[in-house]
Amino acid sequence: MKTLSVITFLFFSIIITNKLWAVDLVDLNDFPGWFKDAMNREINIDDKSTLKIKPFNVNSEILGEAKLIEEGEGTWYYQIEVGIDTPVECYVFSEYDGAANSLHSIVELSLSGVETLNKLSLSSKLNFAVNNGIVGDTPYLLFDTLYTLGEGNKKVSGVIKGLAAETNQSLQVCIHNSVGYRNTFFTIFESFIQAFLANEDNPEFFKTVYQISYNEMPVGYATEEYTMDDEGDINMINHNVVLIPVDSNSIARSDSIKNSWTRSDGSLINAHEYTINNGSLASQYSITNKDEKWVVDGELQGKAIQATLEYDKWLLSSFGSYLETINLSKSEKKSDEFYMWISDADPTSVLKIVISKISDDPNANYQFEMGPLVMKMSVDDKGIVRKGTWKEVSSLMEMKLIYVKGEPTIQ
Amino acid sequence: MKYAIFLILLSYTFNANADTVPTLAELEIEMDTHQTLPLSDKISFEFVSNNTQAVAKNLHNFKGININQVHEKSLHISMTAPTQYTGEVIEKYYQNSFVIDLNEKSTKDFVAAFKQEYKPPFDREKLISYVNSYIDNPVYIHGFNVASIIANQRSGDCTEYAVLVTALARSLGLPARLVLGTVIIEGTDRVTAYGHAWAEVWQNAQWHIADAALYKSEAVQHFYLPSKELENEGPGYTLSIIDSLSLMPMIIRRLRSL
Repeated sequence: MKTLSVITFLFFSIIITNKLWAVDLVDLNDFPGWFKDAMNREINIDDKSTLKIKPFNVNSEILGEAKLIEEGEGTWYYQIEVGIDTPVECYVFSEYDGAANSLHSIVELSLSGVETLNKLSLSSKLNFAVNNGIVGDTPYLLFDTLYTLGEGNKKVSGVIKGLAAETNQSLQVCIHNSVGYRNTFFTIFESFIQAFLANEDNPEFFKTVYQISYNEMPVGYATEEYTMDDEGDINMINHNVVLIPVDSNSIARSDSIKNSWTRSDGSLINAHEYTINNGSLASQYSITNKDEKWVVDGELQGKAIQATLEYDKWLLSSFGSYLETINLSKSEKKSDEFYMWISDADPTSVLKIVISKISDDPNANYQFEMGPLVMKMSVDDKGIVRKGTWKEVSSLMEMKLIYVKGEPTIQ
Repeated sequence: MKYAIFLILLSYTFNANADTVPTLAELEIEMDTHQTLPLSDKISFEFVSNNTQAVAKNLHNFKGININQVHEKSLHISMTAPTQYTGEVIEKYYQNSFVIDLNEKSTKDFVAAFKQEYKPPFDREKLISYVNSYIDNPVYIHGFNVASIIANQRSGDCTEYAVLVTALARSLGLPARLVLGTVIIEGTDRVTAYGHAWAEVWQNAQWHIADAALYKSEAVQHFYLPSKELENEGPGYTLSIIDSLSLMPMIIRRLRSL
């Protein structure tokens, strides 16, 4: 395995796309005229205020008049007046499940609040819109819900718009219970997030953000951030966030974080990870090398997983997969194979990964086979995946690079 | 990979108890020109797939399913409802596993509650009916839960119903297996198809489909087209699910009565 020496870091940043507007899940043409008109309402915001949150080094001017309403137990709750009937509400959490699970929880909490306020029970709710995109280098999730309270003459309808983003040390979730003002709400949220990004340290030498879509619906994002310690080992923090409507009124959500250490040759040192699905811990694992054996500890669906893997050799890390793709691109070989520990496939064994050059697809130049899962990728000459697709039966899953900083190499 | 697997697991989510249609599990299906409803209990169709040889290989063990032609990208299949697995009973179909976790407390409590309500003989109708009513929160948000979680949460879609029926059958000493595939549903006005999961239970010297998810379905007919049983019931079960997905139809075309 080729070992790369550390000569210098190349830092550069490309923002490929800035804003992506929502994908509506309902047809507005099915609604009465007054509702369509209300949905098109927007307002310009001139007022500004200062947002200060010391633990997160936040001290910036934001759009709207922000008032801290409540603070405690790792939560900050703001109301931001923007000159319309209802304020934008923003929560900041220092401890949280993740962008998808937390956004869903806050929307549900807001629906309960609306019921209490109106003294009417929820009679229906519909997934109205989902989306994701990027503010600066930080991905966000969008989830709007159309609700109806009460029955007959007392029926009241509304839209709760929700946006969430995770910055370096905290999660921000903003909610707006008002029909329309979609761009206005996004602008407020964007300004709120920018306040957190303004003073952030960003020591990573390589970072990617991918938008994930399923049958052309944007359902989440995946990020990878690579930093290096004084000894030349590489740390990767990987977030996978999915918020997907599974029918007209339910939404499945998943947040997972993986923290792994890799040697500069791309070999895995250790990894820790956990996944929260639909508000519950689905799995958590660690993999370490003890006495030249790979040992996995953790739990899956509440049951202990403790295994010493049969395979005891070199394991490819995520960082290593970039290096090996670059190596393959420079070689005469058509494909190469490696072994990776991919807990979602099987936490108790390793998986053979085959990386192949392909020429039969105009949208891809590499194929990654991970057991029965085959993804076709468009990889650039720096080894960065620009786009990946998985197509099976009637499902089309795509990952599209929407932000990149640096390169997956050390020199 | 994580998001990919989470999304794939949501491809098998159909059940008749939920009020809504699972958008991720719906498959494309086209009727033959001039074919009207109702269908007879014997149908034929074109099964379009990139994996025709493997699909054909996995369907040879079923009574009621005939593969008439195999082309590179399609199979011509005729089938009669109900289809029936003709494979042997193997030790695995009795056993505790990571997915069918019979020894966990919540699974044992669930089985004990069944035994309080029903006395032997335990025919599959009782199993199906019990699981159908036991899962009182039919939702599509779950990927694939193991039996003890389902017994505890009482929530899920077709995979959760199938896992729980399999666990109940095995706990009662009846061999059972969990099957992933496609269900073609004939309604009064249209025919639909979904990615689906069901249990198969060995009783009276033969295999029977035991589908608690569609127990209260008001459809005219269901045609069960299996892809594969859940071969890996250990912590690596997701690879088996992905594998079975590749054996599902990209589209079912020219469906007609025979």
